Amino acid sequence: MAIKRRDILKGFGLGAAGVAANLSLMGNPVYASAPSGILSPMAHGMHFVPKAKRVIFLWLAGGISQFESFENKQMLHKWHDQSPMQYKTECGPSCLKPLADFKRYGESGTEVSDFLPNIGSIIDEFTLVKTLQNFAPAHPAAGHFLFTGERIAGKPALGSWVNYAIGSENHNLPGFINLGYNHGNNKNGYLRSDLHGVFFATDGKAAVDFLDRPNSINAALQKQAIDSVNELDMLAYSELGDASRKAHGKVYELAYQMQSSIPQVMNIEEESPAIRAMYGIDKEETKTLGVNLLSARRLIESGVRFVNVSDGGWDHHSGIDKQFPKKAANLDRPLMALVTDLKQRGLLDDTLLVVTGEFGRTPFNEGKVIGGTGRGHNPRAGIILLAGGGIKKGFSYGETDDFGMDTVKDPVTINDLNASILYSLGIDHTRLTYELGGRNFKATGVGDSRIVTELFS
Amino acid sequence: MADSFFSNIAFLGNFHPIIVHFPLALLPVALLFKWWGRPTLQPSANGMLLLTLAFAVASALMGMTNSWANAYTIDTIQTHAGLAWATIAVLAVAIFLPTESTGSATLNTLRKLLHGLAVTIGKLFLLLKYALIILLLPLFLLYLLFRKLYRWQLAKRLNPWFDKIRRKLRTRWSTVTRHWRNLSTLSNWKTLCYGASLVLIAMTGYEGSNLVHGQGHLARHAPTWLAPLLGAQTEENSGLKLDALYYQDHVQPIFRKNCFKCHGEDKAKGNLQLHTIEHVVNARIIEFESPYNSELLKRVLLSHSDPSAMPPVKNGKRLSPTAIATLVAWINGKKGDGAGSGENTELPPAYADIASTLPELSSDSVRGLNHHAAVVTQLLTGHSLLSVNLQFVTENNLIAALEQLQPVVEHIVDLNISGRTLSKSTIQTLSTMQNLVRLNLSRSNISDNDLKQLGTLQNLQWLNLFGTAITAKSHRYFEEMPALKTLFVSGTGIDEAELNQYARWSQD
Repeated sequence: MAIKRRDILKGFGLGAAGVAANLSLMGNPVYASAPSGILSPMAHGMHFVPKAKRVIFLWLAGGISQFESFENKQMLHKWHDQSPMQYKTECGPSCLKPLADFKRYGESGTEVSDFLPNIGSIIDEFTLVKTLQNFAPAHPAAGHFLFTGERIAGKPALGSWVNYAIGSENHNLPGFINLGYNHGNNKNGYLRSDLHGVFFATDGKAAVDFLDRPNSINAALQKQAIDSVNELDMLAYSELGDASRKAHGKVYELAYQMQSSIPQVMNIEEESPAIRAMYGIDKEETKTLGVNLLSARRLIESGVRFVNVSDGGWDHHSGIDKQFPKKAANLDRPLMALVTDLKQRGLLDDTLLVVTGEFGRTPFNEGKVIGGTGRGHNPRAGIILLAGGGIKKGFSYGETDDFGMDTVKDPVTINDLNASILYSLGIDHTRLTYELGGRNFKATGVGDSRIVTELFS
Repeated sequence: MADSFFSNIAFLGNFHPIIVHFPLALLPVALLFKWWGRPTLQPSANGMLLLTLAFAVASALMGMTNSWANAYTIDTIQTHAGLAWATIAVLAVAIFLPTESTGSATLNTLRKLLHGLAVTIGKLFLLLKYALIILLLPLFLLYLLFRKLYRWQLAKRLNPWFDKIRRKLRTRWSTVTRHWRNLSTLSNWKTLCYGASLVLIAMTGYEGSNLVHGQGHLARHAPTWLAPLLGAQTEENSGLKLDALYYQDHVQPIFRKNCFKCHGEDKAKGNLQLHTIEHVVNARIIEFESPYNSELLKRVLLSHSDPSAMPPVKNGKRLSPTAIATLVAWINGKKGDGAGSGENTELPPAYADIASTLPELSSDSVRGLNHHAAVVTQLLTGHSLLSVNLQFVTENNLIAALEQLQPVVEHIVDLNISGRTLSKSTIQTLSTMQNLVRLNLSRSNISDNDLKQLGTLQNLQWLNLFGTAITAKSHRYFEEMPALKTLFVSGTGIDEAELNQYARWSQD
């Protein structure tokens, strides 16, 4: 039934207070009604006792090479530049030995490459998974699968699912934020539009475009305009029952609050020089990830539920001998700083830190085929680092074969990883569903995936 | 066999299947004589009916002892027993209920009831007869038409029959109504009762044979078109409904420990493998939702003196009661919750102790506490423990938010009030939260003196004082907190040297 103009004009006077009240009850999104009026799946409490309250997801885009980081395969030294019999048919058949030596660190005695000494010094804080499985060997599909657990494009990212389930604690900031580079796997898919991942720029420009008010409009006027639009949305919602109208209201309100909250939270100048030095912000090689990880820490400290930092340039098909050391230096100090910083602040206990690529790399030298020295993609074995949030300390999970090409024990698929992340947050991935088109979608895609409880203490 | 009372009863009970055939044979013959026999056969018929009743009662009693001795579960024989007693009751009524009025009012009512029932059934049959005739009428008319047209040979043979029908059809309506009216005098309730007892005994017998030979045994060798009518069991493997997750988490470890040696991935004794749920289901050793009917459970429950017991005597002990309970639960359809050994679906001991002392909280009321930007979450479904985050409450609203939490203050086990300015009254409120296990006061204005007040928190295990202005003077207040295990004091007034005082705690 069409909304008549007189209804709109009539509605204006009455609505403001109601709108304000409605939006303030956005309170904890776990309990505020979803726009459809159906309560969040977690409205009766968590499924498990949460071990973590927030997630920092560091994506080493391209696929970090496990042989230059955590997998010391002696066989590769023996077979360097030669083709082992069983792999003769794979592409790039000759092996490439690890480019640096390994040392044992910490009480767990985990072997860490000389490229990552700082991470080695804190390796006891981590659980190291060696057997990441992805279904796709190519970046777009693999990256999408990493974030959404689905093979078909356009599905909601894990950050959106998490916010759909338990919302975010600070209503003046989005619950799902992306730093680093805008990879596009941060969409809300079929979930509410306010759950879309928001990209914050950290390269010196304004964090979010068009955030500031135009000079001609003052705050009061802007608030009035937003409130009016929200009233209309509420009117439309009551007439038409379109759930997305309520989501609009949330988004406008959030955007309004973001004008003041974002500049404040993204202002890393206010951190002490000691902290900034620890993250390596003053040095060129560690500046990018340093700024991103420090911003991530500030964001989660301010109550953001899911922060995804993406760092590109790990796809070393050729030139690994020159590129990897640089990338490793990019990562080494800032990651150590992040973990140390979180630990000092008491945040590590209830923050889950996940560091992973979308797949691993092969033990073979792809440079023999395309020139230079490099490794190809390996969706059958890859590295995940996990810390905080109930994760075991100094633990190693999964085993690959002697060449590090295939997984022989305890594979962890992406869906298993995502199920475990949700488990850490207190959410049962089989019970967090969204009904669409006759089927109950879940964050871990179709088929069975298991929560890897062995990773948790 | 011992000569105890029990074994004697059991001995008698075992004759039930034999004795039961006597009434089964006698009843139809008796009724045959009674209804179609010459008058000289009537006394024999009556005698046979009495004998049937006697044997029926004896069979029923023996059936009872049989089931008691063999401990059949009551529901499997309930139908059979119920039908048997119904047969006996109806037969007894048919034989003994007087046809004339007697002094007893109950018997008269019963007879009238049965008479009414017989009349009704008679009317139904009459209606059925005429309905059938009407239905067949078009066919008959068609036949007449063809006969006229073709003068078939067949027609000659069928002619007498159809002439009879034609004559009957000429009966006027009055005849029909006359039949209808006469039913009350023609109907015989005794006939009804005898007929009913015949039907009932047949049903009893069918149920009994199902007990012995299995459901749908008649359909076993029946032609396919007839099989469904005879109660054939569909070949669907009920084991497909068993939950895979529960198998993986709870059942497979049991099998691994007790069975894989002979029935695992590399060994398949007796052609049985149990290492994946697919193998278990395909082996058809489980009947979904009937654990004690499942071959799997039957074998593991056998005593060691039985040679069929599993695991075999020489290979190990019986399954523990917990293992058996797990299997029973699984066969009854229990689903796994994907939490491995399921540890995190229960509260950790520290929380569990607290939760047991608390009244229930509805999730609606918890929802209502989420005002003024306070974030209040129920820690685990079904338990009334709360996790509260007041980080984002504005200064103005802090008092109001805390006031709102007053009624549920004992439910709060986890509080985050970092970065806030705490007034004296706020500290006071905090000290009343006796069930706090985790408290985050980082970057707040808490002082050494304030910590003194918090010494009353008996359950506090985790305290975050990062970035606060506390000094080493607080050392003694930490001593007062008996449960304190983890303490964060980076960025406080406590310097490196003084940290040694805290050496006996795990700290960061």
